Amino acid sequence: MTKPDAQQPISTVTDTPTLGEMLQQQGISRRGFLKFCTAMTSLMALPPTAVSAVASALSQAKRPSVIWLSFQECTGCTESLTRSHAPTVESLILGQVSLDYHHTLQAASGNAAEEARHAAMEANKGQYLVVVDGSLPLGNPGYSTIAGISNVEMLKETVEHAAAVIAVGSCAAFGGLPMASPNPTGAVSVGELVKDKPVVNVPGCPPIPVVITGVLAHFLTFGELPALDELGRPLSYYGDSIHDRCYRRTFYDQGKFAETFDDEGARKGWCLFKVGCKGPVTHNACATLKWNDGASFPIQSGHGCLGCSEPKFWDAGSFYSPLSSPVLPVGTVAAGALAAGAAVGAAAGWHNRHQTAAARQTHEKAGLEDLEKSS
Amino acid sequence: MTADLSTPRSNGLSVPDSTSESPTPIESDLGFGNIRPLLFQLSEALNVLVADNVSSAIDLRSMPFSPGEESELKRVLGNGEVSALLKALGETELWETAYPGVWWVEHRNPEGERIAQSLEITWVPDILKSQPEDVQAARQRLNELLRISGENLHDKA
Repeated sequence: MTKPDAQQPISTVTDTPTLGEMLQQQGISRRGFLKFCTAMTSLMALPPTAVSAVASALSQAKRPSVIWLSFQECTGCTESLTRSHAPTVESLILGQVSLDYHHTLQAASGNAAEEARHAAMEANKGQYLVVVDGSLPLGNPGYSTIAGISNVEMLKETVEHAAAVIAVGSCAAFGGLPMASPNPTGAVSVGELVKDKPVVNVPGCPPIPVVITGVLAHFLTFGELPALDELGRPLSYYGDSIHDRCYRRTFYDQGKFAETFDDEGARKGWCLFKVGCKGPVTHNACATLKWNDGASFPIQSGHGCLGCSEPKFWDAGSFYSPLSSPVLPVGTVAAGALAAGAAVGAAAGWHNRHQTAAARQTHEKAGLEDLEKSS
Repeated sequence: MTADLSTPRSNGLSVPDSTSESPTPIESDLGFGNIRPLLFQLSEALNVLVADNVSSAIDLRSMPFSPGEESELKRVLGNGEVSALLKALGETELWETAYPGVWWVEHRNPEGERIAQSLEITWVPDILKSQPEDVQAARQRLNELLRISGENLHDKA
């Protein structure tokens, strides 16, 4: 079956008043509504001149029904979402989105929770959105189940009559940590299993909170999914590399690099390329939207980008090796270690402990080699 | 000659005196980063506003600011003659910068968290104007007040 075009308008509305009507009923002034639209426009990374178009669309928008499924994940994505500041996630979830199932956030549990999911699917057949965080195990179904239902079975059942699917976090989008070599559960991404519905990937470990809400807001506002890149990520947030939008980029261009985390370059805030920053090959909006209500992002805090919004970032070599250094396949290392036997691991462990103890004794400053794991 | 820092249009930078025969070059420490490019953008936007009467805006959240750069931009643009506090779904602060036509707009939610921040290059930001829908509702409320008041007067009479 041909994958539907994500740009096609999708009807996901429930039989409820429009957002404009709801705000009017709550006594929100037009100024308040315009302010809300300004925040939404910024949230969706649209140009400020789009506020009037957003206001026009939002006044007619209706609440979409959302079913949120969590599979092989750490709840970091939900943690990220519930710390979203703009607009407050409470208003987004409770006011603008009908979140009908989210087994971490909902009050109902057990059979009542599953009944809520089935009721939402039935009431909004063909119109609801499915948000997924976590990857899915293709190995033993028992690796991850909810209410005795395997992840794959629950995804297939829920997606069958969905309008679209949003894969939140690198696990759902690309397999993430569960899929890291040697992928013990046979984990796959949502996109590997869902071929007949539009799938939007919102990767990151976790994704930036406002990027999650921004995609939902885009859907709420325009009734369609945003424009996507070749990996299914919204271009408005993943169109630029971290490197291209990094305030330290100017130092890269001047050839000024931190060589270690405590040298002059590090203290002066120079480029972190040589200490392993993956910014040049990572597409995300951390450099502009930042984290914790816009307070900072890893590079601003002195640590290189890990590349968490790119596929297989766990297996892309050391977080502290420059991109220019060759990456030894993890499989080769693992095979070597197995062949050499457990003694190698024990020896390496002793060596590391010895080095650390020696460094403590001589008060040596930690260097890159201390951050590397040789076993 | 440098600008009097006590005047409302103050941004801490030296500016040329247009009445001087030999203007002092602008002194600034804008250095690397986003501020100089932003000022070029603002200059062009003011040009368009005056020449074509077209307003524009810059979403500051999309700027890759380095630490302290945002507050430096605020200092460079300074404060002008007008400031306003809007109370709708949380507070919104607006002020005209030391460069008339350039407005700094900060929206906060009811919890005081900043939800949007922009520079608007316009005669007056739209959100400051009374909105037609609100004016229409105000008219209805006033008419209702007058109707009830009239009925009360009639009852007393």
